[in-house]
Amino acid sequence: MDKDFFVREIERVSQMLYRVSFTILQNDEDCKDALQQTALKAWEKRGSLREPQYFSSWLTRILINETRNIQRKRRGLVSLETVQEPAADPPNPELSIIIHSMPEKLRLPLILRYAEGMSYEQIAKTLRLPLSTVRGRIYRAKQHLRKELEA
Amino acid sequence: MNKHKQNDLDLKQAFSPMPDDCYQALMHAARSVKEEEPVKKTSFRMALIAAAILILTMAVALAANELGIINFMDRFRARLPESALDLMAKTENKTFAVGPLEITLRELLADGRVVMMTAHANKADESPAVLVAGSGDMSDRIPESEAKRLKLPQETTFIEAARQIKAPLYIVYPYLTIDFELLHGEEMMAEFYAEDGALLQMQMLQTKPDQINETLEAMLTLHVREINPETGEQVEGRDWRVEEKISVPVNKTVTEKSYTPDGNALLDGYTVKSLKAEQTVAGIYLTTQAEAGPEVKRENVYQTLYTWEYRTVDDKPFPDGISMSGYLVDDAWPVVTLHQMIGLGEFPDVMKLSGIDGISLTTLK
Repeated sequence: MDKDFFVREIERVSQMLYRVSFTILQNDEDCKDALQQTALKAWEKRGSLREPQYFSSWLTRILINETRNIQRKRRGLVSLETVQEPAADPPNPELSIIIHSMPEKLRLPLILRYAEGMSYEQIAKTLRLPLSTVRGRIYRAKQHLRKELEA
Repeated sequence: MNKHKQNDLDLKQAFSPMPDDCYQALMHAARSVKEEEPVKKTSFRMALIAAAILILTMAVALAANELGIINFMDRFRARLPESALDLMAKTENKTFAVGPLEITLRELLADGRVVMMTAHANKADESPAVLVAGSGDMSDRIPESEAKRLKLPQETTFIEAARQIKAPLYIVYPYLTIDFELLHGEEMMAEFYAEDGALLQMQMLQTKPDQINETLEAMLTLHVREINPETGEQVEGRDWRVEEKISVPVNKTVTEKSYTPDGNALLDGYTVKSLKAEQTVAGIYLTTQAEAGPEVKRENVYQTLYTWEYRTVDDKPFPDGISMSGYLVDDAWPVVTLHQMIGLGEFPDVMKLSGIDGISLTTLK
């Protein structure tokens, strides 16, 4: 992988990376850290990617690991100083509230499927979950979403 | 809202556009990588030299500290069986000169499900320096031990610390890379500072047991960058990387034991069906199967089952295992499968499982 390919691909998937990081961290400041670290670590570990067509799911996997590291570091450290200003309003605030109040285990596969257009197989590969688990979680997330939208 | 309308929803609308500072941070990091980094492949001859250096340094290192995986256990409230600690202690320590630092591969352990590595870094010439873990950030606050060593307030960040003591700052990143296809689940990194400022870092990767053989081929990368504390930028030409292929021995031995509920199997509205315990060198992986009763709400499954805890016959919690493999599978609802790990070296005869209130118990034999 050369640097041009790397930068171009990162730019191409940048919005997706932001949405995935926000889905997990729900905080722009932490997303910024996660995104930055992801780019650096992805370059460091580029040797582990043999097939360039897996770039997006490989990068998403690295991003998820970075968000987990940030969550571990932040755990128990939330203080007034770290409370963030709310981000700019999303285009659909009602939908945003419903999505971001779902448990993360449901929210993340749902976003990967319906915001990022990943196949069930890609999601299973990215999240390292059995395909049946991914299907089950997305099914439950959709049920939850339907119920909340009807409420 | 009907199903058709729901499928028409654009979930991207639930997100604000990416803030400019996030975009800039991402792209700045992507563009800052270097095409031709000075990768120094360690030759056999260099390995011999490194081994010779090791003989000289090991005695000093061991006398100075006993850093190892054990230092992380308390922090994670976890435990490794003695046999695992013994095995890790037998890891052939290799010390590498990486720029002005010495980095020692301290411990390795793989059981097919996880691979763990610890690496110890210190300044070769013992002159003052501030070391930042590769998984950390130079704008993080220094840990208590570093505040004490450097005689600085604890709210000082790493970069401020380097500025104040007028010492160089190094970002130290030792890590193992394995084939992406062998990875399963998460990667975890953590760091521990010794009283003398040496830095121990741990990396743990989850692997797919059915695809791991007796040895795991990995690339050990040791990367050090020097940062100018005044500007926060990398110092030109002060970027060092050593790479070495290593074969991690995998101790794949697994013994199994099955437990069944003795008497009352009802816990929080679930009937506990079975418990499968699998012992590897790293601890005991537990797989519990339970079936939800009709009154149990599926949306509460995580908040209930994640409180379930295995205990001794004397009602004391078992130490947690080191793996991050705790997870729940509920796609065969009402049957749920809970995966946990405990840090024991042998199977207990009896285990008790406590419920959400921490009092109700099911005994398994």
